[in-house]
Amino acid sequence: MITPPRLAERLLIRRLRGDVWGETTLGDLREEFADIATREGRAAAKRWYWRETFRLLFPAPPPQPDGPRSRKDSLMRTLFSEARLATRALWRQPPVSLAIIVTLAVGLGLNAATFGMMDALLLRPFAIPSIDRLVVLSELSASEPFPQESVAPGSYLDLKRHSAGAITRMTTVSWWDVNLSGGDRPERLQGSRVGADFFSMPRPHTR
Amino acid sequence: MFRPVPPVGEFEHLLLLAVLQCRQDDIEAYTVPIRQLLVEKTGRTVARGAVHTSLDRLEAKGLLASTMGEPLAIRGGRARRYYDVTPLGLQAVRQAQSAVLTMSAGLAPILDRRT
Repeated sequence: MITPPRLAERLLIRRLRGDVWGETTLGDLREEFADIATREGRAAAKRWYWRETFRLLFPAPPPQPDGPRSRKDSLMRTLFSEARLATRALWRQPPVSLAIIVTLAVGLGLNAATFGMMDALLLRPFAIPSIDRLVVLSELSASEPFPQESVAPGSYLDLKRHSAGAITRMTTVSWWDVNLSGGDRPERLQGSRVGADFFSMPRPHTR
Repeated sequence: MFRPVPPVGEFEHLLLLAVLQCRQDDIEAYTVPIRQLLVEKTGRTVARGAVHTSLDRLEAKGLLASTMGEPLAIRGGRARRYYDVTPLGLQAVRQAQSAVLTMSAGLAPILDRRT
């Protein structure tokens, strides 16, 4: 004997438990399923059974009687009603639903990835003790309107001498790109040149 | 004892006619053929719940009588509930039909018009 989809029938048994018409409904569905399976084939009958299951699980809201209606509905009622309508709309138009779901998934994924990156790079403070006391000094000149990260050695020594008491420790760092040769192939390396007291500066903690 | 004929709504009227139609066609009148008839003849979407509620109401009004059948394998061991229109139900149908006919008398020129 051809039987309806087991999962769908279980869902219905659960949904119709305690309903005086539950057994009749389940019996009717079985009977109609067998009839459709004989006439149109098993696949069509299964599709039909799932549609009916869906209709019974998410019935359309009853029509509102005429006359003055309550202006206010409970929040949960509204939420359930909205969710039910949305589910029915999605079920009715599978291609549109698929497009919406894929768009949402891609959008959410991109947002999550972007946020993860921003969170790691910008929002979380660097694990350096007393980071609020850390400053980067740069030079400005009349001929160069933009701050210069490179400071002339003489200027650095002047700054160090005159800022005693205002700045606890001071060191120098400058970009240093070099070509490493001597091996099979020369290699371009990126590095920094640092002052002698660089390594006595506060260092980030390992997370 | 005299019992007044209870009025029936439009859907109840159709439901009673569907049960009578089954009787006329020698078909056992239970929920499946009743609903199928309503869908086929009226072209409406008929919810199972609406049929069940109306059958209950018509039985409570004494317009329908029902009997339980035997459990059937094709229904997964569940029984059918068979319906028949009671004499009072038949009167109610006649009354409803008569009301429709009386109200529509003389309206043929309007009702038959296509636009």
